[in-house]
Amino acid sequence: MRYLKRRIFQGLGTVLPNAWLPGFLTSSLYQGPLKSVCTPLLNCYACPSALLSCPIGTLQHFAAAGNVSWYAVGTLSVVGTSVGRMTCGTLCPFGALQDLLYKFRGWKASLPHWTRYLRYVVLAGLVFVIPYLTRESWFSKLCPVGTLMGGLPWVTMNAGVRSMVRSLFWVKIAILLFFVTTSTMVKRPFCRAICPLGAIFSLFNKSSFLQLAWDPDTCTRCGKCQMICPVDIRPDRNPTDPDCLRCLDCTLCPSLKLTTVFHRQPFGGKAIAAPVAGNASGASAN
Amino acid sequence: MPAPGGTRMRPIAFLATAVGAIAVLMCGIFRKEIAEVLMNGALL
Repeated sequence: MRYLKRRIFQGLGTVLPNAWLPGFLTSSLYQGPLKSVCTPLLNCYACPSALLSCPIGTLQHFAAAGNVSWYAVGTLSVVGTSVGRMTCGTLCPFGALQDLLYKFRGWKASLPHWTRYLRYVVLAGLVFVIPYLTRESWFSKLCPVGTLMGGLPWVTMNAGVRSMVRSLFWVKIAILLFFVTTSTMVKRPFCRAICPLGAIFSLFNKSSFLQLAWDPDTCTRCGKCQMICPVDIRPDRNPTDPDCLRCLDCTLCPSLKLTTVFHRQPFGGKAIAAPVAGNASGASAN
Repeated sequence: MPAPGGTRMRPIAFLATAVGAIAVLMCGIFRKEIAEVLMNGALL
């Protein structure tokens, strides 16, 4: 029940951008004006029921044409400047799936600290550089969200698409299965290590309008915030950690609360604590 | 307790980022990129 509100938002983030149900009945894509809107989620626009466009797919499309999509970059920048990575934590359908998969009981592991930098490599390489050089949208070709929401439904319901299945499709299935399996053992492996959209939003965590505030005077450093954190970080060590999804699960603790960038004293008389030197960089290292 | 330096600069960083983000978005809209996004999304 603690996370009910976030689960409701995650459900809405899954259903509302994919509410074009006639797409499944008629085996066709939605082609209305909403497709011109980039959703601030990793939501495949090849899904038969998708109403909105994928921002990463849009960036790749423009990169493959030798351009930069100022519209997609601007949309993501406005969202990131407002809420940081909050859409990852509260709305993203694939994030919600990973949250649920981690609830399976069994062997659990931590992700090495260095993997957090992979998502920037994926963003630069697979979203910008390689599409620019090859004129192909390579992240979309390999994206597990695209496989789950676009590839599998189309292959299941359309014989024409099924006849076009080649080895790349099975590579995509293997990537999807890899992330589904690892999500049962590691907290949100795709969001933390691979997601290029998360990489873009994480650049805004330090300067976004909404901020996480920490009260050093009431914090007992018990570490329970890390236990409930969906990305395994210590918000008490660095409230503006680029990995923080602003899911607000940790604000159950009275030492952490949501505030704004203009609120100097969110706990009444105490300032927002800056990252503690030496601790912040290793906040999520385990 | 005074606000630490990094925290003190954050509102300025936010305002600069917000102005930049809106400018980039407006640039995209004025370049009529919305039509191309619509075409790309609708005709995959």
